[in-house]
Amino acid sequence: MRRGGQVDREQSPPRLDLGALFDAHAATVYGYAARRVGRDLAEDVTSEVFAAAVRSAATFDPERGTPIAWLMGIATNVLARHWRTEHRHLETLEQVGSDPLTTAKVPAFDGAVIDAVHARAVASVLAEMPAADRDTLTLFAWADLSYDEIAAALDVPVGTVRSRIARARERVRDRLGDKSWEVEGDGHD
Amino acid sequence: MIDELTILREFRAELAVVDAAALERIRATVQGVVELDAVQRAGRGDDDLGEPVYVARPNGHAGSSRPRRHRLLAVAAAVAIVAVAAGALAWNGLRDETGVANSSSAPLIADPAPAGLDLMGPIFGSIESHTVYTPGGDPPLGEMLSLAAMDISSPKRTSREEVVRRTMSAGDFHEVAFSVDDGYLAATGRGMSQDEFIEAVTQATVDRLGRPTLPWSARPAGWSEWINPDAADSTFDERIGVAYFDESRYPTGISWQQWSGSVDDLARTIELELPIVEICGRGAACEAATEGSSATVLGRWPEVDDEPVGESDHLATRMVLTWLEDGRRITISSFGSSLQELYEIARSLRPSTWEEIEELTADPDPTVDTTRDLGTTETTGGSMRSSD
Repeated sequence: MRRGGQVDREQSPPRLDLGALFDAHAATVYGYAARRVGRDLAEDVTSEVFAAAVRSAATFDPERGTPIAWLMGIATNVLARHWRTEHRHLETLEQVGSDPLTTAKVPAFDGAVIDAVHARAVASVLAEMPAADRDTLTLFAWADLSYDEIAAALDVPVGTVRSRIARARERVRDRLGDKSWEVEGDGHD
Repeated sequence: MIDELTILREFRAELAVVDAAALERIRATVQGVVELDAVQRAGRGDDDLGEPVYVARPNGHAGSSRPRRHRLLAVAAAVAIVAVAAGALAWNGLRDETGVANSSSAPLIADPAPAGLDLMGPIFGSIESHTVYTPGGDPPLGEMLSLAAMDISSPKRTSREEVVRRTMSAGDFHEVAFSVDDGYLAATGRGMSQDEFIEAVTQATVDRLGRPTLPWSARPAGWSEWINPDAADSTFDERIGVAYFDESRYPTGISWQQWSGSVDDLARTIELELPIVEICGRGAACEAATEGSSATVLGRWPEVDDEPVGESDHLATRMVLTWLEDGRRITISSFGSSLQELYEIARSLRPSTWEEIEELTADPDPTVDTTRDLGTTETTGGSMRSSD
């Protein structure tokens, strides 16, 4: 993952090179948002994130976190407003076995080990997971943020991040290990 | 044994593949915001423009807004409009999702065909506003789906209260009540998914009119975002709107967010910014929502139709235009006028309106720190451009 967004500390307030910031992180923000709410809505979310970043550039403090952590913090707040949409898609995947975000829109991921049963299980657990745990887990697994970056993004201690991720992973693990899912799933969807 | 993290990382991984075209659209949107900000700052005669912000252009060169100041000033009005349309306000935008259903399995219970049904084709051929909403909340509304579509050019419109009444009187689950009158189509259903509902309504229109009439291709993907779960059994008077217009995606349409609460609540929830300024068309809801708010109601919008003043039951007919003003999102709304009319009105009012906005919003509450909402808590104090 590219990490960029130059900060000129000689300026007061600190000035972000927003062009570099965009070049370095737009794809990451977009990709993360796309996995949560789909590609269409991800464009809006990403635009909102960077528009907010532009307006709030003066508030960025490099000592408190990396630019990507700052952006992902904004993205988390923006995505929170789309939870109903996200939840609906997750529920659809869980119940129907077909992901509205991926069906006939993008090619399947080659070489993936995940199958339909897994996907339904993941959707199920993400749909019911507390928002804080979900945000933490997805920033870790999908945005590839470090614990420190997640802590900065969500403005929580690193220890909290660790406990959230551990708890969330356990929930996913338990759900994946629940054989009832394989019975419940039709196995060919 | 596949570990859970591997599964998680592969979940929807295909969606994260970089889409260059999407990134360029996003860049253009953000660039529009930057340029509009520069225009507004220059437009108020601020000699100290501060540090220009940069968003690299597709050719790789960073572009500063400052050298373009005068030219941008000359086209300020156009930029304001275009920037709005280009996606500066692409909040929860309507999208071109294909939602046409080809078959129907849901049973239908339809009202008798009203007189004048033959006119519905051309009327609904010019629909400028429609919405799908679910009031949510406890049963019986909890599972209700309702669709309202109307032609705002129609001199007669059914009130939303009427839609609610029809919805409340809808039958048991798996039913769709369907009525068309006065340039208005209302359908309600319960106990089915949104897709099932749309399928049923589509089939109903085919049954009635011989063809699907509603512009399903423009159906809002974010429809559920419009729900106010806290006002499930309320009247629409309790809802207020923050509206946006996204010409790039829905050329003839508008949408709005409806929540209960104050305008400031809306601003925090939806806009991420300092209090919005809204010119309200009319309605007690608007008055109530802005009472005690730091948002400023600039004035009452001129009445443009013959509906009695004071009713707030025509939110669905509201046309809106929103722009950025010094970091704030400005929304004007009108009832019963066309979008083009709204544009013309906005343009004609723009100079004085801009001055008025500047005067009324020159001193935002410095204690309002919205940076927490922006995920920038405890950074450098929450200075926002609008308060520079």
